Amino acid sequence: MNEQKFLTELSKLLTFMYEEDRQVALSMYEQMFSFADDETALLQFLGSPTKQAVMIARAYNAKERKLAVTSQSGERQADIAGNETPAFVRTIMNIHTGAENLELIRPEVIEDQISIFGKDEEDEDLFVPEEEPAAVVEEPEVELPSSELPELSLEMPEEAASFLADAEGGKAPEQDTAAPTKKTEEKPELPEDSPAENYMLDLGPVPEKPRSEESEINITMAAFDQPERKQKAEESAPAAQTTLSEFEQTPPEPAHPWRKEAPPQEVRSGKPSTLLLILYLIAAVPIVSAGVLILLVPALVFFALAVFTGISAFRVLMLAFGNFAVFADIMVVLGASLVLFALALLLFWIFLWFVISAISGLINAAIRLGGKICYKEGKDV
Amino acid sequence: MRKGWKFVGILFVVVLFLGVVFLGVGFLTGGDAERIFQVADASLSITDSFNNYQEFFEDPQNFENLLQGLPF
Repeated sequence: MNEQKFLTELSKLLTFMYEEDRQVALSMYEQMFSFADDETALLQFLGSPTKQAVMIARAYNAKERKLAVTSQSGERQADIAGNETPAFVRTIMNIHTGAENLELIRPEVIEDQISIFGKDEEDEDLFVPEEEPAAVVEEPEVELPSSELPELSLEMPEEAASFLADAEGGKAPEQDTAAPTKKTEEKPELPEDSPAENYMLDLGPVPEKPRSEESEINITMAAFDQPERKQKAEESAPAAQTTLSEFEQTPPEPAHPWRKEAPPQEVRSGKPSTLLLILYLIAAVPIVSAGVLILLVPALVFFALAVFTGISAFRVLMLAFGNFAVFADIMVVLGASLVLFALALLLFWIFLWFVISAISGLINAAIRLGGKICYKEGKDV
Repeated sequence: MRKGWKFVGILFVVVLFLGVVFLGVGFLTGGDAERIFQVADASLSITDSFNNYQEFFEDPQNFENLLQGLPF
């Protein structure tokens, strides 16, 4: 299995989704592969395409998506980028985050944030953990299968919690420590098919903070696992606080390339030429009125014919019941009645077509022509 | 409008086909056009109506009288 096969197979399995949603999902997986250092490890992490499709299917609400796709098909990108992130997108984002935490894929960090880290070399030592996942795995006591790694990275030590309490004013860490512990307790009841699935179930919805900030917190938490780094980090706590506050000031970045903003559309408008408009109205109104009257004549003829044929058909139909003793004659009269009804229907439809299409088409054409002649086109934007 | 044409076209063809089938079956099983016309004429006064219309269109004075009788 390679990336291409994985995506092809996944694409086939996601045919239950709306085309727009399927494209979004596939582009998110492509994005994961493009950021992957080791494709095989990522494939191992994701499991089979079927598992991924099942996870997406669980989160996919077809009825809800139908409304979103049909009503906002023109504003698709805006919808995804906005607050109403679809559940299946959140699921894939959680998997993405899980892969990032395991360092299977590089975290998406914008240039400005890299420069923030570059300011202090000591911080750089702290925030770039080297060989940490390996260290965790190599601990002899633990010896857990790779599927349980995410659980480890989510458990926040008390020291880390107190550090984050200092850094963020003592609000968030309490919630953060409570949530993973609670979810770890629920863990045995959940199916453990693949590491990616565990991540989806453990992490819950992705917070709306910038991704790089989240990555930084995870990395910081991992750094506290090692005692020699703990001391160093406590010393540099004020610097870390500054970094966090700088992140809070950073405007929300376009976290994923699939959330491209639609290019600004040109709005066309025109300035009316008053003289031309008056002249056009003087000429057009009588001409169009005459045209409408001319078209009304055949329309009314067709209407009269339709009414006459319809009445005749009805009278013939009534004649068939009670006036004939021979069955064959009744059949003939009924046949004639049906033929007349068919003709009446056709004639009445032609009358309607004349009124709706021909007459209203003539009026619309006159209005459009007036717009072309009397308005000078210009670009506002 | 295209859907309308399609719907009406299909309905027209179906009803016309049924009518032709009824006519065919009627004539094949012994239906007689002359007998049918006699009954229809007796019931709907077709011949009388036809004669009245014929007389009306043959005389131009009738048209003038009709036009004079119109309210405008």
